Amino acid sequence: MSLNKSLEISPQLENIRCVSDEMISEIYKISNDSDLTFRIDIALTEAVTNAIKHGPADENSIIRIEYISQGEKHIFHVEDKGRGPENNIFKNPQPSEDRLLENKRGAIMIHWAADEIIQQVDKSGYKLTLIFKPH
Amino acid sequence: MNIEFERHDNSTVVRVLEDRVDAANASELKTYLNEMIEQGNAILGIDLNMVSFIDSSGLGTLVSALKKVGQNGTISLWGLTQQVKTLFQITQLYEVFEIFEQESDAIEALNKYVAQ
Repeated sequence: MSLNKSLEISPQLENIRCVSDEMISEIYKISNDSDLTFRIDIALTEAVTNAIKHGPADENSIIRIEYISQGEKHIFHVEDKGRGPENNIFKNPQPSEDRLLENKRGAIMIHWAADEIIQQVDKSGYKLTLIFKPH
Repeated sequence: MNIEFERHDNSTVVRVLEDRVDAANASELKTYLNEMIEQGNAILGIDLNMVSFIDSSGLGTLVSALKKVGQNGTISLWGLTQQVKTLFQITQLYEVFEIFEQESDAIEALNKYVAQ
């Protein structure tokens, strides 16, 4: 069974729940894999939160989330109109020596959860692709 | 956000009655914990039994509370699901907090902290 879906949200933090409500429960239904679903939930929540917090905040700005099921692969694109984080942020991120510092926790969680991470930036904005496979 | 608290003789127990702690509600939890600590409740036990999902904003909120109690108190956590525990481990926060399987062990540790 496959499922392709897309969702557009405005950049408000309460809209993160739309992603979990509309996508994550469907993915569990088709995969019946709680580990996979949890990893997708974590990485997608972090990616969308980053897009909301760091993308443009004007009222016309939209964050687009697209889901493509391709065999065993679950592919997500999260797009916003911003420039994205630094381009090597997901390359083996490590906690700060001072573990109480806030930085990089989201990147660490995405790196742990996703099997492949692709960042693209062009004139139209930033696109983060997350690919998951069953373990 | 649904939260309950109980005052014990020497400590305060906060029960987070939410399935998810994420960027949508973490700031509410942060405000609540900050107020508790500012009112002098620096010896805190936080029950996470109901929480099946916590993101970096939720973890950041707990870290922020730990920083706020500083040398004047402590925070014990219990009730972490295996998945939530994994997130504490990959972010290396598992060693930063006092984490217990059972509430009774956490309360005992908080009481010992007071007796020190």
